[in-house]
Amino acid sequence: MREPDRAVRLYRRLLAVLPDALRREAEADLLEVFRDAHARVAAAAWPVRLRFWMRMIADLAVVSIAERKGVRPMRPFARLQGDIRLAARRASASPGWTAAAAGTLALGLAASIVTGVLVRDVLLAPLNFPQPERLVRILEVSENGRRWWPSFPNAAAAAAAVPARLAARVDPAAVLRQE
Amino acid sequence: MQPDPRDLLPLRPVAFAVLAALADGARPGIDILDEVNATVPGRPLLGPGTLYRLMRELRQDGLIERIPRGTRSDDERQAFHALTPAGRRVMRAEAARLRRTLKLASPQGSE
Repeated sequence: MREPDRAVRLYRRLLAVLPDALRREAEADLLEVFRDAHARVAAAAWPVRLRFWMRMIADLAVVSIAERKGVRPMRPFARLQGDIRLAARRASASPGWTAAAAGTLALGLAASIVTGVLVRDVLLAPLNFPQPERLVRILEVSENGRRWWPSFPNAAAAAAAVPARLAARVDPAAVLRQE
Repeated sequence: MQPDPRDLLPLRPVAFAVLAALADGARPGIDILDEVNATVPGRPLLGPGTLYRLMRELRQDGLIERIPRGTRSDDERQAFHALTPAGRRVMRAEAARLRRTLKLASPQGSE
């Protein structure tokens, strides 16, 4: 298949992001302009073609959102660009304040990430054993209620120490494999 | 009675650029896209979708019209777009408005 045909077919697929009514009424016009625009970059180096496709995708995304929200057509991202420029100017005008704000933001982000990782790994993630629900904890309890960790010469001895009512749930072979 | 073109002023720069691109006659969509991207400063560039919505709005306002495919001998595959008489009046009124604004902004005697 020739390259322009493939590009047009891909662009036609991208038109699926548009609302149905707009796609039906505009498809022929959009494909025509796209075909002409693509013909100019078809033989260009890949960075040029990549920029071209990114522009086409951004254009369709902006049009799709604007059409659904009933926004009047204008240069895409014009307001966002203005906001970013204003923010950059204000940030460069007071570098100390900007550094403090960025540092606070970084600390907050780091604390949030660490908390999230700890909660996930310590509380939510399953233990790093096969069938972790079969693990048992063995404690010795004295008559006065004192508890301590018993020591066993090997896993088989530990398995033998498990009371009979729990023994069915403990597979010494599996314990040995983990040893 | 014809509507007063001043009712539609001021035009947005992209809308004015589209009308200006058609001042010399009917043109296909790709030529209009190139002209608008060359004359309206700033990035990112206009794409086919944004241009289509803009031209649809100008058509609804009666400022431009579409010449169906195959009615021109230049290229039967392409649809052409042209100014309507109302569109030409609005374009001229906007150009005059911009000239007045420029005159106001210019130091006296510099012109």
